[in-house]
Amino acid sequence: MGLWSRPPRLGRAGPAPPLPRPSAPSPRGPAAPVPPSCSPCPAVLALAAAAGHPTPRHRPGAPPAPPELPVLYNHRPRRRLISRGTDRTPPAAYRQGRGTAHRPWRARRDEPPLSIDLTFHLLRHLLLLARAQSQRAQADSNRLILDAVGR
Amino acid sequence: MPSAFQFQCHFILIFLAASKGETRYLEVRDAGEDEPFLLLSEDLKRELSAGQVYRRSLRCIDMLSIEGQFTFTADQPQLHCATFFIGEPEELIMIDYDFVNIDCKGGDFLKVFDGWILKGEKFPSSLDHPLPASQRYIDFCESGNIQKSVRSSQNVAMIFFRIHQPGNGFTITVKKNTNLFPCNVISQTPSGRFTMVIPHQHRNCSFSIIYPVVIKISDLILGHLNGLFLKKPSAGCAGVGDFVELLGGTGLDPSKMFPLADLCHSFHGSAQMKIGCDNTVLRMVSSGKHINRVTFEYHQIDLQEPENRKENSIEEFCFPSI
Repeated sequence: MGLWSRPPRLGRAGPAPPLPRPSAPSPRGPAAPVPPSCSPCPAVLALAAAAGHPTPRHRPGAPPAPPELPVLYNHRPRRRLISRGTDRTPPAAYRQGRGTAHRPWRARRDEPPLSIDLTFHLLRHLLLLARAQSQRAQADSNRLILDAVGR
Repeated sequence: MPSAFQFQCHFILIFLAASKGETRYLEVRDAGEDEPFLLLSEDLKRELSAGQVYRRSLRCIDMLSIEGQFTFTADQPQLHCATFFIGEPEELIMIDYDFVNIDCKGGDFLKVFDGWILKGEKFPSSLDHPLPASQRYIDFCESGNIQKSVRSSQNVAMIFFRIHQPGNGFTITVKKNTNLFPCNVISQTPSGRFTMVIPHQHRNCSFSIIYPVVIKISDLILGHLNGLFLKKPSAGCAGVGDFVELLGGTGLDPSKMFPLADLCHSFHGSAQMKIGCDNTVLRMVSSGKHINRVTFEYHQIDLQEPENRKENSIEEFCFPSI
């Protein structure tokens, strides 16, 4: 039975805390954005499935699903990595006030960081392979030591 | 030889050895009982050391959890590659560039990221990492001539690389260093036990388990270890400097995960929670005024089992992708 032995002070009481709203203050400070994929709404799941989000579901009795299709970078045209000293100062024309007649200058948005699109399912598969490899390497190492000691 | 005289001889020998600074040698001899490697001859030790360096080639998408020397050679243009590194919670990852043959000006790159980043979400989050996001990428093309080694701040790291020309590639050596007070950790396994200690440090630490788990907290100490009575806040964790929170979500970044529970009072016992999320994070927020410690166990839950709704379960807030 998953009970608290001594009920700790929970931030939320009751069996099912309400869905967080974007304006609700977070105990960690500024409101943290709620990712749509974290919502329990079935409608969100349907949208995610329709968008082709790779969320394979294991069917009972089905063979293990192979790893997903090749992963993609977050690739955008003319993407630039975030580098040290991103230039946020407005051009000289705007600093002198000549830009006021035009659309106000906005700081260039930071480009998305270099990343890789990988599902947790594939990540766990890689972890499994890495652990198996590690165990094999350790077994080989132990065999070498035992062979050497036995000489 | 009379035993008294024998004892005196031994005493004199020990005194002489100590005065020459050879007592360390005696300690090493003692350690030999636990370390069979020390009983081997120098030639044999050398042979074993050389043969024990693990080597293999890297794949475009790969994960490594052991030390060794790893080589990637492109047999065709490889434009989207990454290698994940993960160690034990108390280990740091050290990556040395042994050999790099890439065309930086031709669009190739080789970058080390301090942490893991998946779909734009970073672990540790920007709130919990000592470096700003831009400094967590170490680009070989920019700093390779200067920085031959890169060390991670936690037990995970990764590299991104792109190589256009077949035949080009690189070789790296991966080593592990010890981290006395692990702070941000990704668990290699879906089950385990860990004690997180934050000793008088103003920092936030996250322990991430990328599986749906049952997590059981057996010991939580927020405050001084000598048992001084702490003033308890009237309600909730709001305004409390130090607390532990459980987060659940489907991404890697703890700052974008859903808070499931807060714990802001010390207790000894068992507090268990089933979290059916793709990623479960236990995060400790520490003001630096106290020594905080939390011990917990976790094991993977089988989501195919019939669910008992009477349990303290919040899996309805996460729909895992398995």
